[in-house]
Amino acid sequence: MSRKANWFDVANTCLMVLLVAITFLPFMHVAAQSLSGNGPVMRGEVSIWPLEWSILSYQKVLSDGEVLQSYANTLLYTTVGTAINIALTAVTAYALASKRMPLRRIFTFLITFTMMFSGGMIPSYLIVNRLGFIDKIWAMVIPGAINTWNLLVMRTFFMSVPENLTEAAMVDGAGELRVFWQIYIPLSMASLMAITLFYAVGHWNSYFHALIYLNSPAKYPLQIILRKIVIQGIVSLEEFSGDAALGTNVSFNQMTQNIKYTVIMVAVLPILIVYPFVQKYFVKGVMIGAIKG
Amino acid sequence: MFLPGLLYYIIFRYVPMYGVIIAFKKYNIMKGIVDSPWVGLKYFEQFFNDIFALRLIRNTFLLSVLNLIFTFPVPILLAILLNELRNQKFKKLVQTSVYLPHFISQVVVVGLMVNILSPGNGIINHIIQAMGGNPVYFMAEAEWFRPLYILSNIWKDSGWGAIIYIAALVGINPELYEAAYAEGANRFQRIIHISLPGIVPTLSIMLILRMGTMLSVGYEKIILMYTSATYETADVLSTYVYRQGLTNMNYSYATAVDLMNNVINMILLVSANKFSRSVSENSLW
Repeated sequence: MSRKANWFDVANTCLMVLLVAITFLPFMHVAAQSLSGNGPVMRGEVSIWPLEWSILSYQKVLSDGEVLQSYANTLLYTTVGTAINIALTAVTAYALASKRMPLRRIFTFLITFTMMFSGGMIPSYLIVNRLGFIDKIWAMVIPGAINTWNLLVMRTFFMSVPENLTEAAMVDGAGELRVFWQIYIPLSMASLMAITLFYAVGHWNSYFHALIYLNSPAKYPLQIILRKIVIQGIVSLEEFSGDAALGTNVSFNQMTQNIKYTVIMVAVLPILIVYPFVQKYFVKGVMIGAIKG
Repeated sequence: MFLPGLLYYIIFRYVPMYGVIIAFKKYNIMKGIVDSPWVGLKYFEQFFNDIFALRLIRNTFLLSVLNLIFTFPVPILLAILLNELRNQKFKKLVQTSVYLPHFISQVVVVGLMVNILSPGNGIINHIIQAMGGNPVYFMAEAEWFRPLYILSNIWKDSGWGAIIYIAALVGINPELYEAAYAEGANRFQRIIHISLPGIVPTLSIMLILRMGTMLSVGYEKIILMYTSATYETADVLSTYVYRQGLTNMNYSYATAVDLMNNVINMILLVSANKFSRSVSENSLW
């Protein structure tokens, strides 16, 4: 259908441009603040472009023990967690999708039910406590090991794998594991990628589990430190006082504002950088889930 | 092969469901769930006599309903408008851009708010002062809590939320549009009579799902955003459960409140589903 562009199209396009701007402006603002000198930041003069360029706050943040430790923690939780997520989800999805699985319908129902009703915050906490996971990495990677929505999406995907492939393989003597590994996995790479990414982002951004299950600051992930510095405004003294070696005698108070913006940037940059490349996998994953689910 | 998954669901989903019975017991961590003594409805009574009960229920309802009213239509509108874009490349660009905030953590989003709205050197207050006004300490004022909560939700999730509607719109037969155009229908008429009805099934399902989680109103985000100064509007049932249970260790009491929260959620979910089934053919089950 071809028709000439009219006022509606113009208005719509302008609106979209505005929306894109609104999406990016906060980031530009924070990025600009993080790269600006102290004076402009304290006076609130910076809008979307740095004034008095300075990478001092980055030097401070990236050499701060607490920040670095939490970064390492988050990387650890994300890799271990996502590995466990994907392994467990894929295997369980396979079982639920396989026609040979006994009581398949009942299990699927019971699992879906957990999406609507749960024991709640306290009983979950008590279970994790009982298992001795408190303040250990296990509390970060096991309680959320399977996300039921992701599980169902993967199951739907597996259910579209043709049965005759499996039958042929089994006639040739392949066991369940072999079929899973050599037939289902290669055929489902798209959905596996998407779900892996979802889990990974979930781990990177997670803070609540850490809040309730972890007690030692040395184990805190990035988001908790971020919360501490940016939202609660608790910036530790020794790290951020004036540093003669860096050729400045900027006081602790003056640095605090800059530090906050820089810490946000440091937490967000990995996502911002990786996002454009993996974005299409996310969208595909949701489309599959939405249409079939 | 099913075993690990089965174990996971039993231990981390179903056992906690059983653990809910501590709401009816005086839970003693030493004795465990089974051996703690029964107290019946004591904690439920305690809640209704709690001075905060009314405030909590009011806040929970207000926040969820307002949130639903304002955040639910935005992805739909966005999807419809995006669908009307003619340049596919531009459409892709816009989509990629607006999906982004969904992947930013809640901590970052709240952190952005804290900084932009800061009374001392936040840019918003800078502008206010430049226009002759007095700085406003947004994050500490109870009346600002709801608008800020809802607006940041819209900023963060509307783009991503539109995906499912975009998918639905793409599935509408283009011939319908052609026919309407040929019959002289203008843009708005085409949108109202073709696009909208095409999304109604998706819309109903999404609405039902949203209603099911209504009362667990994003407490993780509220915990990040609220301070004792804003409890008057910000404190909801779930955040109260968090404080009572995990900070004050009143496990049984907190579980009782949480249980009520969940039950009301379930009732809403089932009602919404029934309603949808009776007025249209769309329902979750």
